[in-house]
Amino acid sequence: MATVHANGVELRVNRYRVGNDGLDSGRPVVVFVHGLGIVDHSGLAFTLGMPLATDAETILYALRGHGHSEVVASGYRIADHVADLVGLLDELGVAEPVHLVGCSYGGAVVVTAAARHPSRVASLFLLDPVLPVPGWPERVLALLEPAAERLAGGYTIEQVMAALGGVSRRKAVAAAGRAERLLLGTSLLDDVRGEAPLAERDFARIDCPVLAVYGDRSEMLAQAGGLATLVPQARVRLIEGADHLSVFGHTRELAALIREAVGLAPAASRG
Amino acid sequence: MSTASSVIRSGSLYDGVRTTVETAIRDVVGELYYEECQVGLDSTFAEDIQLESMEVMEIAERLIEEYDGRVDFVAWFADMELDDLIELSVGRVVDFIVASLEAAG
Repeated sequence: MATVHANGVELRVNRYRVGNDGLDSGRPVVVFVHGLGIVDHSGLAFTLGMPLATDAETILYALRGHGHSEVVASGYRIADHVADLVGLLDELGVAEPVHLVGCSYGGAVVVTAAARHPSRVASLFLLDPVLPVPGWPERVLALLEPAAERLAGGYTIEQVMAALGGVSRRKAVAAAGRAERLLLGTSLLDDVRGEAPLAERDFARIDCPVLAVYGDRSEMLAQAGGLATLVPQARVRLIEGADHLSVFGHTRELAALIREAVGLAPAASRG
Repeated sequence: MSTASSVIRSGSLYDGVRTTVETAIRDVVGELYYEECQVGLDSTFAEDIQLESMEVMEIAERLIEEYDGRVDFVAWFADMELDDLIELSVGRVVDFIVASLEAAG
């Protein structure tokens, strides 16, 4: 665990590697980029980052504004997150092309990173991603703006508890605090409103393998058809019965898919 | 996990580890909430103590620092399925640490 100063921002990073092989043993480096909102990288660390560290080297960090990374007042465009990501890799001394796993909005970040910095990216694994295609800001704002309005308009913790699916008071208080700080205390919403889609010619610069995994009940799946046109080499896999929230709980299947995507043998069965 | 299940839940090593783990939890959630939860060995992090992943991560990092390479938490977590993570209890963490320290000699 470390705090790294990259691209002018303090980012909390966790790096995992389990096993006794040397640092030159040629493990794939897999970097995870989580989604927007009230999460950070901790959930992904336990469910995917650490399990994959038996064969890969995994790097997870909290996006600016999230977790223990710096909550900057402004600069929440995809371009800012991409610059953070590249800056972070530079600070960590990771020069080789990395496998990027982008979750939800993190998908938009890693797709853009692969388009802007193709030599830094070995492959893309998109997990129920938001793709930076026309209309994407509206999709994200449809989720964030109602939340911001409720937070600004006065709310009870009971309402937050219910809105989050019946979580405890304590979790609701923490989540509401983080959401207020991010949505009401920074330029994030304005930055998203001002975003443009990634141009088709920029999508065409993505030259690495791309695997997009969607929950078959997720609203993100609607974008999958466009992906095939923009990134011809992209493959799409569906996880049955999963929506945008539950898809991240299919950890065994996701770990196996990531292993396959980055060229690792299937995990040894646990005794 | 056979070594962890054979841990004897008493003695100065066990008590010391238990105190360390409880202190780490207390430091992260605060004294008041800790007392409210009546945290015991059977308490699960996710359900009983209602910890978010971020908080479990903080506790894990404190323990990693405390045991400074003598306990391989990451390898242990790496081997867990989602159900193991959801059902993880204070007692299981204590058992794992004790077993690791005993194995290290």
